[in-house]
Amino acid sequence: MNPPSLPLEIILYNILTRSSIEIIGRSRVVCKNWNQTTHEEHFFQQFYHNTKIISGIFVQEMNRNKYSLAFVSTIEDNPISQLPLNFLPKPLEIKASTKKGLLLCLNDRYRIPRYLICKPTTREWRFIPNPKTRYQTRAMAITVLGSIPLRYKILRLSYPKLLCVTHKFGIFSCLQAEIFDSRTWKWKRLSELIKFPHDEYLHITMITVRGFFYCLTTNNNIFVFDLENESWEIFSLPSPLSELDYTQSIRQLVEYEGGLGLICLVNKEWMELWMMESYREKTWRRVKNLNFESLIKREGYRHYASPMALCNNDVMLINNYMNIMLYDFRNGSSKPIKLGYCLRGREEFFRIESDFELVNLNNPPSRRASESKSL
Amino acid sequence: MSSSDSERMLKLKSSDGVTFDIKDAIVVTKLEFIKNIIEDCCGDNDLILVPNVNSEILAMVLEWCKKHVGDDIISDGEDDEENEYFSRKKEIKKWDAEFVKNLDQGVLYHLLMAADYLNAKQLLDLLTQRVADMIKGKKSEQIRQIFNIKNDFTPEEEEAIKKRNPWAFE
Repeated sequence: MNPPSLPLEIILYNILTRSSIEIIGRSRVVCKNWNQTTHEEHFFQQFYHNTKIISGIFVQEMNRNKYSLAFVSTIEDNPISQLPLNFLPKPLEIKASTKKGLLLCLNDRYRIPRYLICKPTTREWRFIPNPKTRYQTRAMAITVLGSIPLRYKILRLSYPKLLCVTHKFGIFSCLQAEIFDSRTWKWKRLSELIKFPHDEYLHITMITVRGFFYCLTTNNNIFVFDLENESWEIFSLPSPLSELDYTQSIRQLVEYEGGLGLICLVNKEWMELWMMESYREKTWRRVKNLNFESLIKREGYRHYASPMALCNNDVMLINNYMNIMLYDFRNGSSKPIKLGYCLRGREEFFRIESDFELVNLNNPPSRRASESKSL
Repeated sequence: MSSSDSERMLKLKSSDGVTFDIKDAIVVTKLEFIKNIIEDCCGDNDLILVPNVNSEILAMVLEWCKKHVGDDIISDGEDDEENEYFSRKKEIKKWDAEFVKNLDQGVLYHLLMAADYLNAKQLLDLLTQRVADMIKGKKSEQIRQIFNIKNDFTPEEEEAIKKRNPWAFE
Protein backbone atom coordinates (compact mmCIF):
# COMPACT_ATOMS: atom_id res chain seq x y z
CA MET A 1 0.00 0.00 0.00
CA ASN A 2 1.41 3.38 -0.89
CA PRO A 3 1.69 5.58 2.18
CA PRO A 4 -0.88 8.36 1.99
CA SER A 5 -0.05 11.89 3.09
CA LEU A 6 -1.00 12.30 6.72
CA PRO A 7 -3.06 15.37 7.58
CA LEU A 8 -0.82 18.22 8.82
CA GLU A 9 -2.81 18.56 12.03
CA ILE A 10 -1.97 14.99 13.00
CA ILE A 11 1.70 15.32 12.12
CA LEU A 12 2.12 18.55 14.06
CA TYR A 13 -0.11 18.08 17.09
CA ASN A 14 -0.09 14.30 17.55
CA ILE A 15 3.26 13.07 16.22
CA LEU A 16 5.73 15.93 16.69
CA THR A 17 4.40 16.59 20.18
CA ARG A 18 5.48 13.05 21.08
CA SER A 19 9.02 13.61 19.81
CA SER A 20 12.10 14.99 21.49
CA ILE A 21 13.14 18.64 21.57
CA GLU A 22 15.89 17.81 19.04
CA ILE A 23 13.41 16.49 16.49
CA ILE A 24 11.24 19.55 17.04
CA GLY A 25 14.29 21.72 16.37
CA ARG A 26 14.99 19.81 13.15
CA SER A 27 11.39 19.99 12.09
CA ARG A 28 11.64 23.79 12.08
CA VAL A 29 13.55 23.72 8.78
CA VAL A 30 11.11 21.31 7.11
CA CYS A 31 8.83 24.08 5.92
CA LYS A 32 7.54 27.52 6.95
CA ASN A 33 4.27 26.24 8.40
CA TRP A 34 6.10 23.80 10.68
CA ASN A 35 8.52 26.52 11.80
CA GLN A 36 5.67 28.78 12.82
CA THR A 37 3.56 26.11 14.53
CA THR A 38 6.41 24.77 16.66
CA HIS A 39 6.77 28.18 18.30
CA GLU A 40 3.16 28.49 19.34
CA GLU A 41 1.60 27.97 22.77
CA HIS A 42 -0.99 25.50 21.46
CA PHE A 43 1.79 23.27 20.22
CA PHE A 44 3.71 23.48 23.49
CA GLN A 45 0.65 22.68 25.59
CA GLN A 46 0.26 19.42 23.66
CA PHE A 47 3.99 18.75 23.85
CA TYR A 48 4.13 19.20 27.62
CA HIS A 49 1.02 17.04 27.93
CA ASN A 50 2.57 14.19 25.91
CA THR A 51 6.19 14.27 27.06
CA LYS A 52 7.84 14.09 30.40
CA ILE A 53 9.39 17.53 30.58
CA ILE A 54 9.60 20.03 33.35
CA SER A 55 9.54 23.76 32.68
CA GLY A 56 9.55 26.34 35.42
CA ILE A 57 11.36 28.91 37.51
CA PHE A 58 13.49 28.76 40.63
CA VAL A 59 12.74 31.78 42.77
CA GLN A 60 15.63 32.63 45.08
CA GLU A 61 15.58 35.14 47.86
CA MET A 62 18.29 36.18 50.28
CA ASN A 63 16.92 36.43 53.78
CA ARG A 64 19.21 37.14 56.75
CA ASN A 65 22.28 35.86 54.97
CA LYS A 66 20.60 32.64 53.90
CA TYR A 67 19.13 31.80 50.54
CA SER A 68 15.67 30.34 50.27
CA LEU A 69 14.55 28.59 47.13
CA ALA A 70 11.21 27.73 45.65
CA PHE A 71 10.40 26.05 42.37
CA VAL A 72 7.27 26.80 40.39
CA SER A 73 6.21 25.09 37.22
CA THR A 74 5.06 27.21 34.30
CA ILE A 75 3.26 24.33 32.61
CA GLU A 76 -0.46 24.24 33.20
CA ASP A 77 -1.73 21.15 35.01
CA ASN A 78 1.69 19.62 35.11
CA PRO A 79 1.79 16.58 37.40
CA ILE A 80 5.47 17.31 38.00
CA SER A 81 5.39 20.46 40.06
CA GLN A 82 8.27 19.83 42.45
CA LEU A 83 11.95 19.89 41.72
CA PRO A 84 13.70 19.31 45.02
CA LEU A 85 17.36 20.14 45.42
CA ASN A 86 17.74 18.35 48.76
CA PHE A 87 20.26 15.91 47.26
CA LEU A 88 22.78 18.74 47.00
CA PRO A 89 25.11 19.85 49.83
CA LYS A 90 23.81 22.82 51.79
CA PRO A 91 23.80 25.78 52.06
CA LEU A 92 23.06 26.37 48.42
CA GLU A 93 22.88 29.39 46.16
CA ILE A 94 21.84 29.14 42.52
CA LYS A 95 24.10 31.12 40.21
CA ALA A 96 22.76 30.30 36.76
CA SER A 97 20.41 27.96 34.92
CA THR A 98 19.89 26.66 31.38
CA LYS A 99 17.05 25.48 29.20
CA LYS A 100 18.87 22.18 28.85
CA GLY A 101 18.26 21.15 32.42
CA LEU A 102 21.50 22.23 34.10
CA LEU A 103 21.90 24.38 37.17
CA LEU A 104 25.09 26.09 38.37
CA CYS A 105 25.20 26.47 42.13
CA LEU A 106 27.48 27.62 44.91
CA ASN A 107 27.90 25.57 48.06
CA ASP A 108 28.68 28.01 50.81
CA ARG A 109 29.55 25.67 53.62
CA TYR A 110 33.23 26.29 54.17
CA ARG A 111 35.45 29.33 54.18
CA ILE A 112 36.08 28.90 50.49
CA PRO A 113 32.78 28.25 48.75
CA ARG A 114 32.67 25.61 46.02
CA TYR A 115 30.89 25.67 42.70
CA LEU A 116 28.92 22.72 41.45
CA ILE A 117 26.92 21.73 38.42
CA CYS A 118 23.77 19.63 38.61
CA LYS A 119 20.76 18.32 36.73
CA PRO A 120 17.84 18.45 39.19
CA THR A 121 15.57 16.04 37.30
CA THR A 122 18.09 13.18 37.37
CA ARG A 123 19.76 14.25 40.63
CA GLU A 124 23.17 14.12 38.99
CA TRP A 125 25.72 16.58 40.32
CA ARG A 126 29.41 17.28 40.53
CA PHE A 127 31.78 19.87 42.00
CA ILE A 128 33.68 21.88 39.43
CA PRO A 129 37.03 23.61 39.96
CA ASN A 130 36.77 27.09 41.44
CA PRO A 131 37.46 30.33 39.59
CA LYS A 132 39.42 33.10 41.32
CA THR A 133 36.99 33.45 44.19
CA ARG A 134 38.88 36.22 45.95
CA TYR A 135 37.39 38.60 43.38
CA GLN A 136 33.75 39.44 43.77
CA THR A 137 31.35 38.00 41.21
CA ARG A 138 29.40 40.47 39.12
CA ALA A 139 27.49 37.97 36.98
CA MET A 140 27.54 34.35 35.94
CA ALA A 141 25.94 32.44 33.12
CA ILE A 142 26.12 28.95 31.66
CA THR A 143 25.45 27.64 28.21
CA VAL A 144 25.23 24.10 26.86
CA LEU A 145 27.18 23.77 23.62
CA GLY A 146 26.57 20.10 22.94
CA SER A 147 24.64 17.23 24.44
CA ILE A 148 26.32 14.07 23.15
CA PRO A 149 28.73 14.16 24.85
CA LEU A 150 27.66 16.91 27.21
CA ARG A 151 29.70 20.07 26.79
CA TYR A 152 29.07 23.36 28.53
CA LYS A 153 30.85 26.61 29.18
CA ILE A 154 30.45 28.98 32.10
CA LEU A 155 31.14 32.70 31.99
CA ARG A 156 32.04 34.57 35.14
CA LEU A 157 32.38 38.33 35.24
CA SER A 158 34.06 39.67 38.34
CA TYR A 159 35.44 42.96 39.67
CA PRO A 160 39.21 43.04 39.20
CA LYS A 161 41.67 44.57 41.67
CA LEU A 162 41.70 47.80 39.70
CA LEU A 163 38.10 48.86 39.28
CA CYS A 164 38.96 51.72 36.97
CA VAL A 165 41.73 52.18 34.48
CA THR A 166 42.88 55.15 32.56
CA HIS A 167 43.17 54.11 28.99
CA LYS A 168 44.03 56.16 25.89
CA PHE A 169 40.73 57.97 25.67
CA GLY A 170 39.58 58.35 29.23
CA ILE A 171 38.57 56.55 32.36
CA PHE A 172 36.98 53.16 32.10
CA SER A 173 35.40 50.82 34.57
CA CYS A 174 36.41 47.21 34.19
CA LEU A 175 35.26 43.69 34.60
CA GLN A 176 37.30 40.56 34.41
CA ALA A 177 36.06 37.58 32.42
CA GLU A 178 36.77 33.95 33.22
CA ILE A 179 35.54 31.02 31.18
CA PHE A 180 35.12 27.45 32.31
CA ASP A 181 35.08 24.75 29.61
CA SER A 182 33.75 21.36 30.65
CA ARG A 183 35.90 19.76 27.99
CA THR A 184 39.21 20.96 29.44
CA TRP A 185 37.82 21.05 32.98
CA LYS A 186 39.68 24.30 33.57
CA TRP A 187 38.96 27.97 34.09
CA LYS A 188 40.64 30.39 31.75
CA ARG A 189 41.00 34.09 32.41
CA LEU A 190 40.68 36.47 29.51
CA SER A 191 43.99 38.37 29.38
CA GLU A 192 42.34 41.68 28.58
CA LEU A 193 39.89 43.31 30.93
CA ILE A 194 36.44 44.24 29.69
CA LYS A 195 36.30 48.02 29.65
CA PHE A 196 33.24 50.20 29.88
CA PRO A 197 33.12 53.98 29.60
CA HIS A 198 33.19 55.20 33.19
CA ASP A 199 29.51 56.08 33.37
CA GLU A 200 28.26 52.90 31.76
CA TYR A 201 27.38 49.76 33.70
CA LEU A 202 25.75 46.45 33.00
CA HIS A 203 22.14 45.85 33.93
CA ILE A 204 21.33 43.12 36.40
CA THR A 205 19.93 40.48 34.06
CA MET A 206 21.97 38.65 31.48
CA ILE A 207 20.27 36.41 28.98
CA THR A 208 21.67 33.47 27.11
CA VAL A 209 20.81 32.88 23.49
CA ARG A 210 22.60 29.82 22.12
CA GLY A 211 26.30 30.41 22.91
CA PHE A 212 25.98 34.16 23.44
CA PHE A 213 25.40 36.15 26.59
CA TYR A 214 23.65 39.47 26.18
CA CYS A 215 23.15 42.26 28.65
CA LEU A 216 21.75 45.76 28.36
CA THR A 217 23.96 48.57 29.61
CA THR A 218 22.90 51.72 31.41
CA ASN A 219 23.55 53.66 28.20
CA ASN A 220 21.13 51.41 26.32
CA ASN A 221 23.86 49.66 24.43
CA ILE A 222 24.19 45.89 24.32
CA PHE A 223 27.08 43.97 25.77
CA VAL A 224 27.59 40.56 24.20
CA PHE A 225 30.01 37.81 25.13
CA ASP A 226 30.61 35.11 22.52
CA LEU A 227 31.36 31.97 24.47
CA GLU A 228 32.58 29.85 21.58
CA ASN A 229 35.11 32.40 20.36
CA GLU A 230 35.71 33.80 23.86
CA SER A 231 35.41 37.39 22.72
CA TRP A 232 33.17 40.31 23.66
CA GLU A 233 31.87 43.56 22.27
CA ILE A 234 29.57 46.42 23.11
CA PHE A 235 27.37 47.55 20.29
CA SER A 236 24.78 50.25 20.00
CA LEU A 237 21.26 49.81 18.78
CA PRO A 238 20.46 51.15 15.32
CA SER A 239 17.93 53.81 14.52
CA PRO A 240 15.08 54.13 15.54
CA LEU A 241 15.90 52.14 18.68
CA SER A 242 18.76 54.51 19.48
CA GLU A 243 16.60 57.60 19.21
CA LEU A 244 15.15 59.49 22.13
CA ASP A 245 11.67 57.94 21.95
CA TYR A 246 13.07 54.49 22.36
CA THR A 247 16.01 55.02 24.67
CA GLN A 248 13.74 55.91 27.51
CA SER A 249 11.44 53.04 26.87
CA ILE A 250 13.65 50.00 26.46
CA ARG A 251 12.76 47.39 28.94
CA GLN A 252 14.07 43.90 28.41
CA LEU A 253 16.19 41.61 26.30
CA VAL A 254 14.53 38.28 25.60
CA GLU A 255 15.06 35.16 23.57
CA TYR A 256 12.72 35.08 20.57
CA GLU A 257 12.61 32.09 18.20
CA GLY A 258 16.18 31.23 19.07
CA GLY A 259 17.48 34.73 18.44
CA LEU A 260 17.91 37.96 20.40
CA GLY A 261 14.76 39.97 20.98
CA LEU A 262 14.13 43.32 22.57
CA ILE A 263 10.92 44.46 24.19
CA CYS A 264 10.23 48.20 24.29
CA LEU A 265 7.48 49.83 26.20
CA VAL A 266 5.91 52.29 23.79
CA ASN A 267 2.98 53.57 25.79
CA LYS A 268 0.90 52.31 28.68
CA GLU A 269 -0.88 49.69 26.63
CA TRP A 270 1.58 48.55 24.00
CA MET A 271 4.99 47.05 23.86
CA GLU A 272 6.97 46.47 20.71
CA LEU A 273 8.93 43.30 20.08
CA TRP A 274 12.06 43.74 17.99
CA MET A 275 14.38 41.01 16.82
CA MET A 276 18.05 41.12 15.83
CA GLU A 277 18.06 39.50 12.42
CA SER A 278 21.76 39.32 11.81
CA TYR A 279 24.42 39.08 14.49
CA ARG A 280 27.16 40.07 12.10
CA GLU A 281 25.45 43.14 10.70
CA LYS A 282 23.50 44.01 13.87
CA THR A 283 20.33 44.67 11.91
CA TRP A 284 17.00 44.71 13.71
CA ARG A 285 13.42 44.32 12.60
CA ARG A 286 10.22 45.07 14.44
CA VAL A 287 8.32 41.83 14.74
CA LYS A 288 5.04 42.79 16.28
CA ASN A 289 3.18 44.85 18.84
CA LEU A 290 2.23 43.25 22.11
CA ASN A 291 -1.06 44.40 23.48
CA PHE A 292 -1.44 44.69 27.23
CA GLU A 293 -4.82 46.34 27.34
CA SER A 294 -6.60 43.45 29.03
CA LEU A 295 -3.87 43.12 31.60
CA ILE A 296 -4.16 46.78 32.57
CA LYS A 297 -7.94 46.70 32.70
CA ARG A 298 -7.81 43.72 34.99
CA GLU A 299 -4.80 44.33 37.19
CA GLY A 300 -4.66 48.08 37.44
CA TYR A 301 -1.10 48.59 38.66
CA ARG A 302 0.35 48.41 35.20
CA HIS A 303 3.37 50.60 35.76
CA TYR A 304 5.00 47.98 37.89
CA ALA A 305 4.67 45.15 35.43
CA SER A 306 7.87 44.32 33.67
CA PRO A 307 8.40 41.62 31.06
CA MET A 308 10.73 38.84 32.15
CA ALA A 309 10.85 36.45 29.21
CA LEU A 310 8.96 35.06 26.27
CA CYS A 311 7.90 31.47 26.84
CA ASN A 312 7.00 31.12 23.17
CA ASN A 313 5.41 33.26 20.47
CA ASP A 314 2.12 33.57 22.30
CA VAL A 315 2.93 33.68 25.99
CA MET A 316 5.06 36.05 28.06
CA LEU A 317 6.27 35.83 31.62
CA ILE A 318 5.63 39.07 33.50
CA ASN A 319 6.84 40.28 36.87
CA ASN A 320 3.76 42.05 38.14
CA TYR A 321 5.37 43.45 41.29
CA MET A 322 3.67 41.14 43.77
CA ASN A 323 3.57 38.02 41.68
CA ILE A 324 4.70 36.51 38.39
CA MET A 325 2.21 35.73 35.73
CA LEU A 326 1.86 34.15 32.34
CA TYR A 327 0.23 36.48 29.85
CA ASP A 328 -1.29 35.05 26.67
CA PHE A 329 -1.42 37.53 23.77
CA ARG A 330 -3.88 35.48 21.79
CA ASN A 331 -6.78 36.27 24.09
CA GLY A 332 -5.39 38.70 26.66
CA SER A 333 -5.75 36.19 29.48
CA SER A 334 -3.33 36.17 32.36
CA LYS A 335 -2.60 33.49 34.90
CA PRO A 336 -0.66 34.12 38.09
CA ILE A 337 1.96 31.55 38.97
CA LYS A 338 1.21 30.19 42.40
CA LEU A 339 4.15 31.02 44.61
CA GLY A 340 2.36 30.87 47.90
CA TYR A 341 3.62 34.28 48.96
CA CYS A 342 3.97 37.82 47.64
CA LEU A 343 7.18 38.87 45.98
CA ARG A 344 9.26 41.34 47.97
CA GLY A 345 11.27 42.73 45.08
CA ARG A 346 14.55 41.11 46.21
CA GLU A 347 14.13 37.86 44.33
CA GLU A 348 16.26 36.35 41.60
CA PHE A 349 14.62 34.20 38.98
CA PHE A 350 16.21 31.24 37.22
CA ARG A 351 14.29 29.65 34.38
CA ILE A 352 14.85 25.99 33.75
CA GLU A 353 13.57 23.47 31.26
CA SER A 354 14.57 19.83 31.45
CA ASP A 355 13.89 16.31 30.29
CA PHE A 356 14.59 13.30 32.48
CA GLU A 357 17.48 11.81 30.51
CA LEU A 358 20.77 11.12 32.25
CA VAL A 359 23.61 13.37 31.10
CA ASN A 360 26.71 11.85 32.64
CA LEU A 361 28.37 14.79 34.34
CA ASN A 362 31.44 12.70 35.06
CA ASN A 363 32.92 13.19 31.65
CA PRO A 364 35.81 14.08 31.66
CA PRO A 365 36.69 12.18 34.83
CA SER A 366 38.51 14.31 37.36
CA ARG A 367 42.25 13.96 37.66
CA ARG A 368 42.24 14.33 41.40
CA ALA A 369 40.37 11.52 43.13
CA SER A 370 39.27 13.89 45.90
CA GLU A 371 37.43 16.25 43.54
CA SER A 372 34.15 14.40 43.21
CA LYS A 373 33.83 13.41 46.84
CA SER A 374 31.99 15.81 49.06
CA LEU A 375 33.98 17.93 51.44
CA MET B 1 -31.86 1.57 27.40
CA SER B 2 -33.03 -2.02 27.68
CA SER B 3 -30.70 -4.76 28.84
CA SER B 4 -30.54 -6.36 25.43
CA ASP B 5 -28.77 -3.28 23.97
CA SER B 6 -25.36 -4.34 25.27
CA GLU B 7 -25.62 -7.55 23.25
CA ARG B 8 -26.80 -5.74 20.17
CA MET B 9 -25.05 -6.71 16.96
CA LEU B 10 -23.89 -4.00 14.61
CA LYS B 11 -23.02 -4.21 10.96
CA LEU B 12 -20.13 -2.02 9.79
CA LYS B 13 -19.66 -1.63 6.05
CA SER B 14 -16.24 -0.62 4.74
CA SER B 15 -15.52 1.60 1.74
CA ASP B 16 -15.03 -1.45 -0.47
CA GLY B 17 -18.37 -2.95 0.48
CA VAL B 18 -17.37 -5.59 3.02
CA THR B 19 -19.70 -5.97 5.99
CA PHE B 20 -18.41 -6.79 9.46
CA ASP B 21 -20.70 -8.14 12.18
CA ILE B 22 -19.60 -6.97 15.57
CA LYS B 23 -21.05 -6.71 19.04
CA ASP B 24 -22.02 -3.16 19.96
CA ALA B 25 -20.18 -3.40 23.29
CA ILE B 26 -16.84 -4.02 21.63
CA VAL B 27 -16.74 -0.90 19.51
CA VAL B 28 -18.93 1.62 21.23
CA THR B 29 -16.44 2.61 23.96
CA LYS B 30 -13.42 2.68 21.68
CA LEU B 31 -14.76 4.31 18.53
CA GLU B 32 -16.45 7.66 19.30
CA PHE B 33 -17.63 7.85 15.71
CA ILE B 34 -19.77 4.73 16.16
CA LYS B 35 -20.95 5.81 19.59
CA ASN B 36 -22.18 9.14 18.21
CA ILE B 37 -24.02 7.50 15.33
CA ILE B 38 -25.79 5.07 17.64
CA GLU B 39 -26.77 7.85 20.02
CA ASP B 40 -28.06 10.09 17.24
CA CYS B 41 -30.03 7.53 15.29
CA CYS B 42 -32.36 5.68 17.52
CA GLY B 43 -33.83 3.67 14.69
CA ASP B 44 -33.50 -0.06 14.15
CA ASN B 45 -31.10 0.42 11.30
CA ASP B 46 -27.97 -1.30 12.50
CA LEU B 47 -25.93 -0.95 9.33
CA ILE B 48 -23.28 1.70 9.78
CA LEU B 49 -21.36 2.94 6.76
CA VAL B 50 -17.67 3.61 7.19
CA PRO B 51 -16.88 5.11 3.80
CA ASN B 52 -13.34 6.30 4.55
CA VAL B 53 -11.94 3.00 5.68
CA ASN B 54 -11.33 -0.09 3.54
CA SER B 55 -11.91 -3.66 4.69
CA GLU B 56 -8.27 -4.55 5.40
CA ILE B 57 -7.85 -1.57 7.71
CA LEU B 58 -11.29 -1.86 9.29
CA ALA B 59 -10.56 -5.48 10.11
CA MET B 60 -7.39 -4.41 11.95
CA VAL B 61 -9.22 -1.68 13.85
CA LEU B 62 -11.85 -4.16 14.98
CA GLU B 63 -9.15 -6.65 15.98
CA TRP B 64 -7.58 -3.94 18.16
CA CYS B 65 -10.97 -3.09 19.69
CA LYS B 66 -11.63 -6.75 20.54
CA LYS B 67 -8.32 -7.00 22.36
CA HIS B 68 -8.99 -3.82 24.31
CA VAL B 69 -12.55 -4.52 25.46
CA GLY B 70 -12.90 -3.54 29.10
CA ASP B 71 -9.22 -2.68 29.48
CA ASP B 72 -10.00 0.27 31.69
CA ILE B 73 -12.22 -1.57 34.12
CA ILE B 74 -10.73 -2.46 37.47
CA SER B 75 -13.06 -4.74 39.33
CA ASP B 76 -13.75 -3.24 42.72
CA GLY B 77 -13.03 -5.32 45.74
CA GLU B 78 -10.69 -8.24 45.92
CA ASP B 79 -6.93 -7.94 45.67
CA ASP B 80 -6.88 -10.88 43.34
CA GLU B 81 -8.95 -9.02 40.80
CA GLU B 82 -6.65 -6.01 40.99
CA ASN B 83 -3.60 -8.16 40.37
CA GLU B 84 -5.40 -9.69 37.44
CA TYR B 85 -6.11 -6.19 36.13
CA PHE B 86 -2.45 -5.21 36.22
CA SER B 87 -1.20 -8.42 34.63
CA ARG B 88 -3.87 -8.11 31.98
CA LYS B 89 -2.82 -4.54 31.34
CA LYS B 90 0.78 -5.68 30.93
CA GLU B 91 -0.28 -8.36 28.48
CA ILE B 92 -2.33 -5.90 26.43
CA LYS B 93 0.65 -3.53 26.29
CA LYS B 94 2.80 -6.33 24.93
CA TRP B 95 0.15 -7.18 22.37
CA ASP B 96 -0.01 -3.54 21.29
CA ALA B 97 3.75 -3.47 20.78
CA GLU B 98 3.53 -6.51 18.53
CA PHE B 99 0.54 -5.02 16.73
CA VAL B 100 2.48 -1.93 15.62
CA LYS B 101 5.91 -3.47 15.28
CA ASN B 102 5.77 -4.98 11.84
CA LEU B 103 3.34 -2.60 10.21
CA ASP B 104 4.26 -1.49 6.72
CA GLN B 105 4.41 2.33 6.53
CA GLY B 106 1.41 2.51 4.19
CA VAL B 107 -0.72 0.31 6.43
CA LEU B 108 0.39 2.29 9.49
CA TYR B 109 -0.65 5.58 7.91
CA HIS B 110 -3.98 4.21 6.70
CA LEU B 111 -4.64 2.83 10.19
CA LEU B 112 -3.73 6.18 11.69
CA MET B 113 -6.14 8.03 9.46
CA ALA B 114 -8.86 5.48 10.19
CA ALA B 115 -8.28 5.90 13.93
CA ASP B 116 -8.59 9.64 13.47
CA TYR B 117 -11.77 9.36 11.36
CA LEU B 118 -13.36 6.89 13.76
CA ASN B 119 -12.26 9.09 16.67
CA ALA B 120 -10.52 6.23 18.44
CA LYS B 121 -8.31 8.22 20.81
CA GLN B 122 -6.52 5.31 22.45
CA LEU B 123 -5.66 3.68 19.13
CA LEU B 124 -4.58 7.04 17.71
CA ASP B 125 -2.22 7.61 20.67
CA LEU B 126 -0.67 4.19 20.11
CA LEU B 127 -0.13 4.75 16.39
CA THR B 128 1.14 8.34 16.61
CA GLN B 129 3.61 7.28 19.30
CA ARG B 130 4.80 4.59 16.89
CA VAL B 131 5.40 7.16 14.14
CA ALA B 132 7.14 9.48 16.63
CA ASP B 133 9.45 6.58 17.56
CA MET B 134 10.15 6.00 13.89
CA ILE B 135 11.38 9.54 13.30
CA LYS B 136 13.70 9.48 16.31
CA GLY B 137 17.17 10.49 15.30
CA LYS B 138 16.19 11.33 11.74
CA LYS B 139 17.53 14.37 9.92
CA SER B 140 15.33 17.17 8.55
CA GLU B 141 15.47 15.95 4.94
CA GLN B 142 14.46 12.46 6.02
CA ILE B 143 11.57 13.88 8.03
CA ARG B 144 10.47 15.79 4.92
CA GLN B 145 10.51 12.59 2.89
CA ILE B 146 8.68 10.51 5.47
CA PHE B 147 5.80 12.97 5.57
CA ASN B 148 6.05 14.07 1.95
CA ILE B 149 6.44 17.77 2.74
CA LYS B 150 7.67 20.32 0.24
CA ASN B 151 10.50 22.58 1.39
CA ASP B 152 9.50 26.21 0.86
CA PHE B 153 12.62 27.76 2.41
CA THR B 154 15.43 29.32 0.44
CA PRO B 155 18.87 27.92 1.35
CA GLU B 156 19.64 31.17 3.21
CA GLU B 157 16.44 31.00 5.25
CA GLU B 158 17.17 27.38 6.09
CA GLU B 159 20.68 28.28 7.28
CA ALA B 160 19.34 31.09 9.45
CA ILE B 161 16.94 28.73 11.21
CA LYS B 162 19.62 26.08 11.70
CA LYS B 163 21.74 28.73 13.40
CA ARG B 164 18.92 29.50 15.81
CA ASN B 165 18.47 25.90 16.85
CA PRO B 166 22.09 24.73 16.86
CA TRP B 167 21.54 22.02 19.48
CA ALA B 168 19.22 20.23 17.04
CA PHE B 169 21.79 20.15 14.27
CA GLU B 170 24.99 19.06 16.00
